[in-house]
Amino acid sequence: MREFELSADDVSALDLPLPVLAHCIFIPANGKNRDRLIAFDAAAAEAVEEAVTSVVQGAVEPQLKENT
Amino acid sequence: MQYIEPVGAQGPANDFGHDYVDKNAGLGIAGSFLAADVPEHVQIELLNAIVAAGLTPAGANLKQLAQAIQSGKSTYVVATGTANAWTVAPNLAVPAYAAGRVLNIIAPATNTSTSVTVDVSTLGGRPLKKSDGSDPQVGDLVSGRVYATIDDGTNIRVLTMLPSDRLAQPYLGFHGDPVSLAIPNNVQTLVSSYTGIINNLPGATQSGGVIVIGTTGFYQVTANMASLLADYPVAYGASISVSIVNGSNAPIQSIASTPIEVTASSLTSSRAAAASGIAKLAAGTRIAAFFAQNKGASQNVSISLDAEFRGS
Repeated sequence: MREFELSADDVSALDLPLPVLAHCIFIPANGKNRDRLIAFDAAAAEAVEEAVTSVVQGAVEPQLKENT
Repeated sequence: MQYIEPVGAQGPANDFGHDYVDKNAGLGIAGSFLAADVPEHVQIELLNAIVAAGLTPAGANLKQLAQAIQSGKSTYVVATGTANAWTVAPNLAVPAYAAGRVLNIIAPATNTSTSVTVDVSTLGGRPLKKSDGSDPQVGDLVSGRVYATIDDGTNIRVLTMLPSDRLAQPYLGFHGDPVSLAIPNNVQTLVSSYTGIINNLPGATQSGGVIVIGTTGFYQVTANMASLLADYPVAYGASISVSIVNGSNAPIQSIASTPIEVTASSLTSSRAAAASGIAKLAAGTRIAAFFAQNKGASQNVSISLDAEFRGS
């Protein structure tokens, strides 16, 4: 499982395919955490990471965070 | 009825007079004689009990006293009079008001006042009270219903609970006030916060929008979504659900969900949708509300969540 600190707009802009998103959930920011996209398996996490790095370098600068 | 003393020889004193004794010539004891009142009074006493029960004395039936007791006739009465002033005339007239007397009374009408009296056997109106001695509320005593009552020496109290005796049930639920969230396109979004939370679910905790059930039982869960075009312009593909989640907060089983997605045509102005369901959840089960939409871009939405314990 990996967490990506991405906003709702970030996630929408990535335009990830449904099979990838089916293995993810989005958790909006609350008092403890910022917006996060959670990928539950390695394949989904890899797809998210590839999308993040390939889409508009600089426009979207998500912070990748390994989940402990 | 009084104890009728033996005529002639008397035995030792008892609680009411003296014992009857048998003749014993050897000991020189003359036996007692019965006064005429003895068989007469005993018969009349028994016959009064039989007649008061509505039975007709019959020489061929020697179980009539038992049947009279069984009938309950002397404690059962259909009241007449008015809604707030009952008249009660038992088959066996009550000679005087006294504590402990039980009557099962059918109400003549539904009471319209908190002051209700019962006039038993024309002894005069006696206040009718609830079991705790307080006045009944208007409508507590319903026409045609039977009420078990007892005289407490001052009032006639209804032994059973009346509608106004019902206690308010405590709210054993969770309520999360609506929160406005930006929802990304095409991904299940866990509703991770609420603007205000009431959590009275027995033993349950909540953190980050995830409720951990504390007591095994039936739970009714409802998630509501509001779309107000100006503030929360959800217009495409909206769906809400409440699901059991695993330790990573991934939904693993839906408890409630909207039957179909809410489309632009069904959500063209201020609209709301709800997902509701009942499930038996074990202690330790984790549940959360989810939202999804497929407009193609992020949308704002207002979501609330309720979960109520419905018993084990």
